[in-house]
Order: sequence, then C-alpha cells, then structure tokens
Amino acid sequence: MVRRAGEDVPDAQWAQYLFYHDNPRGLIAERWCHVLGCRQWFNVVRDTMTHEILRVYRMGEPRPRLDEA
Amino acid sequence: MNEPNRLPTGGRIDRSTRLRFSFDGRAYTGCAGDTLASALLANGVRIVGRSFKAHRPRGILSAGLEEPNAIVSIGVGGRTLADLKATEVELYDGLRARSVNAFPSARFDAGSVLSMLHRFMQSGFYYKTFMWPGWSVYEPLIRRMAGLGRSSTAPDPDRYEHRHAECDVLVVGSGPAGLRAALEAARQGRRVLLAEADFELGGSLLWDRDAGGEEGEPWLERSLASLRAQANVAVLERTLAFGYYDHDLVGLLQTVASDGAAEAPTGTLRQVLWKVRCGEVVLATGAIERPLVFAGNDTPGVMLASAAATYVNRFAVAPGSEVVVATNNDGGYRSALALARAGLAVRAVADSRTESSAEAAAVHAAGIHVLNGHVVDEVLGSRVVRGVKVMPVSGSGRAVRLPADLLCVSGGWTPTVHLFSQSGGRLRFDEALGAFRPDAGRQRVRVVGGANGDELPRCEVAQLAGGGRKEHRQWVDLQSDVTVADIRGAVHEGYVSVEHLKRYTTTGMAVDQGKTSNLNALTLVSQLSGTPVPRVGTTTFRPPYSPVTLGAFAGSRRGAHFIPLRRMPAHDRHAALGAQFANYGGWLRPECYPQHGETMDEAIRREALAARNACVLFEGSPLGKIEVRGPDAARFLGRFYINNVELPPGRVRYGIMLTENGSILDDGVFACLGEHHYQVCTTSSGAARIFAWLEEWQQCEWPDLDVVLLPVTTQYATLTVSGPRARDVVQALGTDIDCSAAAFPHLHVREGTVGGCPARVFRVSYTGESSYEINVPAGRAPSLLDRLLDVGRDHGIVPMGVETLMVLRAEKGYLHVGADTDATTLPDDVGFGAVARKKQQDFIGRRSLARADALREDRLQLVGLLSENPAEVLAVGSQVLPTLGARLPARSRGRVTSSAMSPALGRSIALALVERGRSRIGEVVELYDQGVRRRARITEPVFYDPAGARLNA
Repeated sequence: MVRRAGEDVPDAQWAQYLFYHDNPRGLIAERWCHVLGCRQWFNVVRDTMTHEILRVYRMGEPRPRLDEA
Repeated sequence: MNEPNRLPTGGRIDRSTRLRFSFDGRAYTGCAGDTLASALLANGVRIVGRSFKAHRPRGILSAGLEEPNAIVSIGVGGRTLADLKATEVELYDGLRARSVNAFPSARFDAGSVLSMLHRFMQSGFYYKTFMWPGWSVYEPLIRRMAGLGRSSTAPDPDRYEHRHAECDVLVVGSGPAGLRAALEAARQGRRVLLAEADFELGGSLLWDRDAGGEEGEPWLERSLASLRAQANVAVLERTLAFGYYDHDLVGLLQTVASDGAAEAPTGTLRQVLWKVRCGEVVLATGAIERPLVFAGNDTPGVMLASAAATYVNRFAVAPGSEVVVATNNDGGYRSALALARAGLAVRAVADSRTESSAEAAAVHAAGIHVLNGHVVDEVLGSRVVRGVKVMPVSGSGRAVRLPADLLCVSGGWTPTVHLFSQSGGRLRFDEALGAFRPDAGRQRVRVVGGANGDELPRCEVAQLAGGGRKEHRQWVDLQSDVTVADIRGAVHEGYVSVEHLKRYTTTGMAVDQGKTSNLNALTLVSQLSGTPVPRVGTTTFRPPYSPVTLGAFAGSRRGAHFIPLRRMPAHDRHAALGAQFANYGGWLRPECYPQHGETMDEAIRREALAARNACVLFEGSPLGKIEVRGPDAARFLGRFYINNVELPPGRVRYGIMLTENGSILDDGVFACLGEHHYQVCTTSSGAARIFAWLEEWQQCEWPDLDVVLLPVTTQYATLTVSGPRARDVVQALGTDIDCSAAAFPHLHVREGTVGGCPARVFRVSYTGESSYEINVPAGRAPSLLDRLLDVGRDHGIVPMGVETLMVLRAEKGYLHVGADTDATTLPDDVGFGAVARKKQQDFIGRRSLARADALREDRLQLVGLLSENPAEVLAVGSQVLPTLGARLPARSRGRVTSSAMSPALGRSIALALVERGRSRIGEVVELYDQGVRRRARITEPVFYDPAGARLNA
C-alpha cells in the first residue's frame, strides 16, 4: 500500500508523493499484478541487481524488514 | 574437381556432393560440409570484401562467428540476408553471395580511392570535417558509401516460430568441454539440451587433432552417439545461444532451413527462436584467437593460425602454399604443425618470446625454422600477402624477409565470456592470457573449458604502439577500420574511458562487435595511457552475441497476427452494408458507409445530415462497461470521479476521472442501476485500462471497501439509435419500456425488452440528438441491427460510422479524451473546473488541482475556432501564433485539437486548446501549419444547439 498523502498537505509534500520514488541498487519493495492470469495484486521484495525475488506477501500484510529478506 | 586449393584427402567434407554457388556474379563449386568461406578459399578467392571506411581489400581472417572481414549478403529478393559472415554460412546448392562495401565487386572497387586518403581520415574526421553547412548535407552520400549490406524491402516469404522450453541443464557449445559436461549431466539422468551454433558438432575437435589426450575424432563420434542414444538429451545443431537473460532464461536461434534458395516454397519454416528456462547453464563457448598488430596486418593472406588449421583439417582446403607463422604463444606451433602435415610449405615460426617454446622441438623435427624473439615488422605486398618482413623484437638487429602467401598469426586467446557477462557474472583480468576470464557468477551458470580460460596457451603481450608512421597501417579493428594511430589520436584527445573510446573511434562496433579486436584495443589504450587493463575495463556485453534476424524476433507476430484485430458483434452486417473499416484502438470499426461511389466526405455528410434530420444507427459495442456492486459502490466510485456520484436508481451522469496529477484520464457516463449497483461506461480505448485502474486501487489501497467489479464490455453489444426520429424507431420495434419523453428523459437508464430482446437502454448522447443506446447480449446484435434498420426505413434511418460521429460530437463541443486533451489537461482547462470545485468529497487528483501550475492564468483552454474562410478546414495540430503575422520561430500559444466540415452549419469548425482561450472569445488568431498561415476567430466550443434542446426532445 502506498501511503496516499492527505488533501491538506503542502505542495512540497504532495510533490514528494507524486514524483519522488526511490530507485535503489539492491533490495526494493514493490507491487506486482498477475495481469494475464488471476489479476491479483501482490507485494514482492526484489533485488534490482539480480532481479531475484526474495519475498512475496499479500496486499495489506506488513512489509518484511529488508535487511532480513 | 576444379577447386585449385582443395586438398586431395582428409577433412570432414563430402567430396561426392558438389554444390554450385556464385560470389559477386562468378560461378564456383564447393562440397557439402563447406562454409561459404572454405569454398571461396578452395577456389582461390582471396579478396572477399572491402573495408568499411577505407575500402581496402580484405581477405578471410577467421573460420567462425568472429570474422571481421568476409561480410556478405546472401540470397535473393525477400530472402536476402545482409551482413552475414562467410565463415558462418553453410554452403548450399544455388547459393548466391555478394560482397559488401564494394562496387562493382570486391576485386575491383571504385571506392578504393579512399584507401589512399585514409591516413587523413582519422577518428573524429567526420565530426570535425563535415560541419559546414551541416552534417545533413553529407550524410546521405557517406551513408551510401559506408553502409555495409542492404536488406531487401520485399516481404520475407519464410516462416519463423517461437518455442518455449525448459531443461535441467543447457550446455552451450559442443567442443570437448561441452561434450564432457553434457555426458556427465546425462549420466545423472538430468534433462539436457545441447546447443551448437555450427552445423557440425565438435567445436575445436573439428580442427585440433591434438585436443587433449584420448579425445579427437574417434572420441567425438563415440560421445555424440552416446548423447543421441539417450532419451533425456536433446541436441540442437545450427543453434546459436545469443542472449542470457534474468532467471536463467537463454535465447536460442535455431536455423531449421539453412538454404535460402529462391525456389523454396513460401511459408518454409526458416528459424525457430527458443526461450529456454534452465535449471543450470553450462557455458562451453570456447575461446577466440587474437590477431597480431603490425603494418599491413589487414592484407588478404593474413589469417588466424587456428583458422588456417581449421581450413586444412576440417575443410581440406589449403588457404596458401608458402606459410609464415607469427605467434606470442605455444598455440601457434600447433597450427604450424597442422599446416606442415597437410603439405603446406611452412617457412618459419616467428615467436615474439625470447625463451624457446616447449613445442619448438616438434616443429624443428618437421623442418620448420623457429625465430625466437622476432615479430612481424610489415607485410610485403599490397593487394595480397607476397612476403613477410620479420624483425627482432628488441628493435635492433637484422630484418629477415621471408617469401609467403599466407601469414598465420596468433596473438593469444580470448575466452568467449559474452553469455557469462550477460548473465551478470563478473570478469577478472588474467595477465598470462592477456584477457578477461569469468570470476564470480550471479545466476546458475558454470563456465568450462576455454571459455573459462582453462587449457589455453599463455601468451606474451607485445608493445602494440610505437610504429611511427606505420601506425596508420597497423590495424586494431579490421571491421571498423581502426588503426593504432586512430586509438593514439583518441587517447591523445582524452578519450580514455573505454565506452567513450568505442563511440569515438567505432572500435568494437558493427557486425562482429569486436570479437577479435576488443582486447587488442584495450591493451593499446592501457599501454598508451599507462593504465592497467583491468582499470581500463571492458565495454558492456549485450545480447545478441551474434546478429539475429528480425524475422526470428517477430516470429508469427507479423501481418494480421501482429496485433489481433477485434471485430464487433455485428461486423458481418456492417460489411454487407458497405462499411469502410478502419482500426480504432484494436477494433475494426466502420468509418462510414459510402454508397454508390460516394467519397468518404460525401458519405460522412449524408450520414451527419441523417442524424440531424431523421435518425442513424451506430454500433458502439467497444464502449467500455464495468459493473460496480456492493454497499460501498458509491463511496468507491466517488473517489474516482470529479463529479458527485450519488444518484437515484435509473439516473445517468456524465463524469470525468483524473490521474493523481490532476490530468484527465478518461470520461464517460455512469449510471445507478439499483441499490448498491452502478455501471461505469468508459471510452472505447479506456475499457481495459480503466478497469485495471479501478482494480488496482480497490485491491491495493482500499481493500476495506465492500465492492465488486465486473468488466462486461464484450458481454453486451451496444446499438445506438440517434436523431429526431429515434424514439419512433425504438417504439416501432416494440418495447415494454415507456419511451415517452416524460417517463424516460435524457440521462436516464431503463431495463426491459426491446424487440423481444432483454436490453438495458441508456438515454445518453454523443451526437447532440435524442438517443437510445440499446445494450443487448452480444450474440443478439446482428438480428437486432437487422430489425432496427427494417423498422427504421420508414423513418429514414441510415447506418453511421465513427468518422461521422466525430463530426457530430465536434459540432457539439463534446470532448474526445486523448484528442482534445493530453496528459497535462486539467478539468478546468476544458470547462469542468466548477464541477470539481463544488464536490465535497476527496477524489483522485483533487489535491493536484490546487498546485500553482494548475492555477496559472495562461493555461491552455478549450475553445472553438471558426476559420476566416468557411470552406477551409483547419488542420489538426495547427499551432496558434503569439500575434497576427508573428515571425517564426515563435513559442506556440495553443493548437487545433479537432476539426471538421460541419454539414449542419455548412462551414468548417474546429476545437482548440488556446492560451487563456476563454477570456479571448471573439479574438482573431493566426495559425501555422507546415508553412501555411490561416486566421480564425475564437468562439465558444459549442457550435450546434448550445441550449441542448434537441437532447430532451
């Protein structure tokens, strides 16, 4: 779940939510969709260097701590 | 046999199967088992191409995919394959090959005058010289002279397929190391796939008789027989592993039919592109011998030592008669012995190393003179090798001139690490090899044999620079025509990063991707800049390892199969009615229905007038339809629309959805069908996109809302009857829905039966006329369409196409999202600012509407435009100039987004996004389009029935 910024936040904070996203070298938590199958959205932890998938967890479940993944 | 250089015995060719072929228009013969290169050498053809920039004569250097010189185009018509290496082309009867970069032929090339000028055309020459008046003046000529082979513009008559596979072990390469790995994996019962790029299995065993102990040809035959006998092993020849991707996915290109003869039937399966998911990948891709760098090292007759041995041992071809071997490693001696055994006169081995080699004794025994501590100073002979001038490596001492027509060179061996590197593996530099070898891998990959740097001869890398004026004739990259002088110049100008150097000098580019030249270039940069080779680094290895045909990548996705076209439920009826079809977002839809030789404009005019004066029938089945059910349906939808979504059952409202940036994502109506039950209608192109958008928010952000989504776009066909007589037609057909204006007004929905068919009828309109949008189960569409036309005949009904609808909606100023809007258009820009501001509840994109940029006064706003000349239709995309008669260049102040000749108004109309447009109603602006200026008056964006009286009729 992406924490949606509220309506009353200042412009800078809204811009952060809209346009600024981390693009780490290494582990990243992101959400995927099984588009051509069951259409289910789910979460993965992926290594951007190796593209290895380290964790898969449901929507709404807490993000595992990346250093443990 | 009239192949002068064919050896009488030996080799793996079939002398009883003669194959005819031509090269640059001359007829030759070869044998089954030949490559084009070996057949050309058998026929004594020494000049096979001209170099890329300098048009210097070039001969065959290698016997494999690394070939930089012998680039040919083969085949005829749509089967033409440009820029193949003669060394990879399996000879077939009737093959027609042409050299590239040469006119009229490789032997006599008009462009060879450039070779005299090449000294003055160092790297950067083009950038520095062809600056005035501009590169574009010179580009066509230079491209024509430089362009390598030309592909055919005719369609490829052959068929290509994709295949998906998986295996426990993929072994790439069938040399001794690959065979050993495949045998071992097979013995363990694993499912093995063995891929070999060559048409014959065996790798180095095919030419190196001395390859490792008991191995050699008998071992090869036994191993292949064993592999072929096992059910868990599949062996693919003519199959190139071209790319190593994520998760151990390897791309293979299998050539099924290697003959490109013109007479093959259309639809012949030519190549299969395999996508193989592997449990483990064993790379046994071998190693590539490096050339040596000396003056004239590009002269035809200079050949890699291992290649010469390959031509002798595998193809029974003598690539020369009088041979000098120059080497910096023991491998050169092995090749010298192979040539001597085949009866070639090997005059000497010049070894740059001063220490005597362990292999020297055997060479001595064969009567070959060894010159230790000697290197080639220059080649004697201009068009072909006539002799070799050898000098002591120390630089002092007597030069030796040796007669020769073949100079074999061995500058060490480079492990073929391309696939390993693509897999994410790290490389490390090995001083003894003078090359990079695999280090830590990242995927499930194992590298064996020469590819891993194992059992390769150690070499002594020489000083490559220091030849003075000779550096202009010392070639580093034969394919891209890069000399030592070029690289010295580039380093001098500061191009020390290998990636920059590559782009500046073009070394390592083009068809061979520097397979023979990259290491020499790196070594040279290292020596010139005083940086160790590992610090200079390598350029990135990217797929494909060797070129792959576009046909193979396309597979069956070509022509009608490129993107499947969808047909509407009543498609056949439209065809029978004379529809002219076009592709609208993947749907094949009628543009209009030209009758009795009408032009398209005439048909649109007739249909548009019918809509205004009588009635039309339009199939809008691709219109997106999504059912939304559940106690939270209204709450859920309220978070998407800028409009209030609370409606009593039976009511319909026009709505707009935004992205979080505030820009318009889609528009369309939504209807309340009952308690907790809505239907969302999207644009036709938004049907899949908007459903996915709703789903993502539902699943990821708002799983707490009790709501279910169901896409029903293709469950229902949509037949719309529109026009002043629309009600009469629906009633004539028979319906249990009360269609009186009072009982079923505009922007309402009713469910019932129409013509005996269960239907959901919307009173919504994109034409500006009173309309009935009848949604029925898709399969009922053809018969319902027939009957609507039948009962409508008395009311003047005609079928109407999409283009006519676009004219009608432009007359009304109705938005066409994606045409009248783009990714920066906000609701206020198109007149819906008040709606968004009035809404109490938050919705996606709302916060962005309060950003400073959204509140700028000079935003583009949707307005109407009436051209000064009513007969002229403004071009969509015409730009609004800042002032009348403004000088160009000028910043655009807006653009025309929709434009049409309006039959109802009898004049042209247009919609436009214009800076501060709404405050400029009545102003005349100047528009610019492709050199033409026109003037138009800004108006309100509604040209027809602005009060909307006709909708409620």
